[in-house]
Amino acid sequence: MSLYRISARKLSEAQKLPNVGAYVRMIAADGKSLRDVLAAKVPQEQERVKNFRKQHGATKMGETTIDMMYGGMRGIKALVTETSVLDADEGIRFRGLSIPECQKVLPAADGGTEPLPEGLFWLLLTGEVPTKSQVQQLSREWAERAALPQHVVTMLNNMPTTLHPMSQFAAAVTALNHDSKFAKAYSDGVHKSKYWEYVYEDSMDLIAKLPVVAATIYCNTYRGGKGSRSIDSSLDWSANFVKMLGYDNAPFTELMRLYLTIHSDHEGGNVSAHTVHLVGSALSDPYLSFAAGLNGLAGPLHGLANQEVLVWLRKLQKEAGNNPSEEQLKEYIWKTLKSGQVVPGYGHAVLRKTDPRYTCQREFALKHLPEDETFQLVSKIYKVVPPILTETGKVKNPWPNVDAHSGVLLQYYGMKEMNYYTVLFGVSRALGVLASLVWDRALGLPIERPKSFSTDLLVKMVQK
Amino acid sequence: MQKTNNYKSFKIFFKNVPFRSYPDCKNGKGSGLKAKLAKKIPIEREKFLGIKCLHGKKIIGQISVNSVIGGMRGLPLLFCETSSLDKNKGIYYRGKLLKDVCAKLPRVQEGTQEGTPEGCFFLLTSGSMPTKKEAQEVTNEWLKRGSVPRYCLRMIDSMDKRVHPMAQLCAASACLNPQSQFVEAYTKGARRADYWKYSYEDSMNLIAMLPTVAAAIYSNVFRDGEGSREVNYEEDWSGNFCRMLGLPEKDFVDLMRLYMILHADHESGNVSAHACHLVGTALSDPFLSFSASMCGLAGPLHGLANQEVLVWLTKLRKAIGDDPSDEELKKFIDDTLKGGQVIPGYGHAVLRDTDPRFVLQNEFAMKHCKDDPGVKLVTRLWKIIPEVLKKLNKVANPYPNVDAHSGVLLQHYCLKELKFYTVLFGVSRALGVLSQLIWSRALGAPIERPKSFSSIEICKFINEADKKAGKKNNKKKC
Repeated sequence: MSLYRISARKLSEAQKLPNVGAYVRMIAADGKSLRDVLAAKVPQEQERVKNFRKQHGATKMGETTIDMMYGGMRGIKALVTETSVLDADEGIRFRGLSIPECQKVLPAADGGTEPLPEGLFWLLLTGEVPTKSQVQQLSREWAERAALPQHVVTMLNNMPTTLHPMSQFAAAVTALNHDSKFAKAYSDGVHKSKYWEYVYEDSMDLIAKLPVVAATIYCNTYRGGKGSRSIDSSLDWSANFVKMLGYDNAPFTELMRLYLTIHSDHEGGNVSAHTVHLVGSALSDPYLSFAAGLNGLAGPLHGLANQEVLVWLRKLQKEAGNNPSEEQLKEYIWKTLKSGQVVPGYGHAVLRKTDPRYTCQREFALKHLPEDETFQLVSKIYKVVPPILTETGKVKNPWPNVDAHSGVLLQYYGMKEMNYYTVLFGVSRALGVLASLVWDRALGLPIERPKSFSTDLLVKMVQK
Repeated sequence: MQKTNNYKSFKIFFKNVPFRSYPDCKNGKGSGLKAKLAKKIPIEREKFLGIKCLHGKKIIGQISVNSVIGGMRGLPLLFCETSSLDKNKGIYYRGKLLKDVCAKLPRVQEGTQEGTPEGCFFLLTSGSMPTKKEAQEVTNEWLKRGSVPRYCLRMIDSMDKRVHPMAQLCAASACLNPQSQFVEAYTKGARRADYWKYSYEDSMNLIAMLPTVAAAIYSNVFRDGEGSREVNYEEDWSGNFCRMLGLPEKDFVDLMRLYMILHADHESGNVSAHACHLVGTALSDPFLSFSASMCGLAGPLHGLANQEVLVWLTKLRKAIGDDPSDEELKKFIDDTLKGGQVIPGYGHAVLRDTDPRFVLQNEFAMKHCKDDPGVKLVTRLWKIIPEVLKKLNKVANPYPNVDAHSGVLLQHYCLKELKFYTVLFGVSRALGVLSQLIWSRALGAPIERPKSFSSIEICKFINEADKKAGKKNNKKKC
């Protein structure tokens, strides 16, 4: 009974959570490592979810209709994801914090203003905002874990440059599975309650190695194999990545920090996050789970969107010039729509207002490249497109999403290889999906196995 | 980010653009399977749209908090045209019981006793049982498409032999994606109504190449690189595969045909099929979709089950010998259960009777190798274990599933490397997941995007629902 009272009190506290500030607590003890914080938090969350299920397990969350089945589960409330929540109007919240809030409270690098992705990973994993020294500690830890095994380097160097960077990326991550601590622990018969610890270790190793893998692919594919793979332990994750890619440019490093932060998570229902969760629920290790997610990210409807924006912009510039008037823009946009195409970079399956990820990139551009011709074009499009889409009367969301801006910024700093952009997206997305995977195992979420029916069976069912 | 994909635009598109027949393949007569598909797909689309119009709003399931946290278990969220699972009768392929499928598939090669996976793929994809000629045509098609590009073989050869064979299969599949006709067509702006054609071509190419890829991995990891990688045009898909593995024995080739058929499809809710579908709905090509599928199959809860059976049987034989008494067997079983473990190969998430796939393998064993000690043991366990499990009164299904038998048969024919068994499963599963993928593109299945919530959000949702209910019940708040 006393145990029940304690649990009830915790649930009672949870009830107060609509106050955003309550989601996040500043860490009192400065010295705790990420692993320590997580180890303390996991049993609490396990208890909370267990009690929650006991009390409300049978509560109805919604219904499924045949339209929903045929419609790709659109909107079906079928997944639990702790790391981020997507509100149709406000956009993404990482553990309750909006992007502007993250930019405000997450530690930046010395001399920088954008949040470090290391800090975001800490937040996603623990629900708490780290101190600057904790973030620096995480940077160092990732640097220490970053070295690639020789067999993966050999494999990468054997890949033809004609092989798409995303295929190279997925294959290399798959090969890293050789060192999976989870796979080894599982085959040694480790107890289920400890799965999360090994998933954590694999996730940390994998995240640390991703910039090296990604930079190796970039240098092999686009720079004739030149470039360094060495990690400078005094630099943060993004700075090391930019250096290995061969760019020596402080604002570009800041852009990379921003990019890697804002693309990291977008709740659990998008294809890459859902694939990682699904594959991980069969207890595949983090390397294989993430590789599967990358295969989903490579899909044009998911990960290629910013490339489609750039392609469309180039066609626009070719046809209407680099500095078209608003009238010329309107004419081109209507032409796009009437030919049955969509305006790439606009609209979203869930969002119904301007994507905050677009907004913060726009602010970055206003600060660092306000005079850039292409940025000015994007800005003008932002002014012109929403009224047109609204006018068509059949668009739920006429506002821009993250992809409307990200390619333009990368182009400005000289990274013009569009096929590579999804790899960057993949490096960033690892932070969200792997943090979520750690929690899936911590909470003991079972294998995902929905039921499927053929159309004939469905007909029989509904005709009863 | 996502393209608009609503029903109205699809209907308008469909009406305004009547289906046109496509030209045959370059080299003369077109594939029978593709022609059959081209005829069937418009009919199925029409039917599909009709169901949506008539029944789209009808409710077929309820979602509870437990089902969300419980991995969507049993939630009716996916459609799958190729197979369906009845809990008592097992799997149906296109409406046909598995034993009927195995009985009726044409025996294409002279002197063989099992139907071909090629015929099975024809059935899954077209919905019709193939004639011998039609099954042979699929074989011929796969032989033509079976050469693996040199760069892919070089990549496989460059992988460290200690990398798990399944990881190598995933990597190799991803690396085949430059071959994708779907990617090429998509990039050039192909019409959505035609996507299935390119998925079909990629799927056919991938399936044709898989035996060579799998055999190269096997040879590198377990046989110091020995063995052929060349397709022999006198043999069928399974015959080529077994020869490349270095195990050309006729009965083993027949077992391989059976194995490939039995493991091919199992609805679309299992992890490997679901991953393939999910990734495919983002319009990733079949090579990447299959690679994601195999990452899921590598998961121990999904693809390692027959290995766990063999490990357990090995312990059993070591502990009580090859020919123990019934009492000794019962004691070993009881000890396993008391140790907190399950009996591997028994039980299933959905099935509630003996898995027909087990029965069919047992029939094969009785015909070809009934004196094998492992086979004998499996048959005896089949008599004893269900009785033991029934007495426990807390087992929904005390009967054996497919994994209880498949490893033992492979062992008998000297394919003893346990780590490779999931690769075999993967090669077989390609038949099901890729035929499903073709149909997903044919029917225009949109991107799969369920909504996710944190548990905090779920609490909020429940509180709001409670308020709306006007506190009818005095439920505790979160």
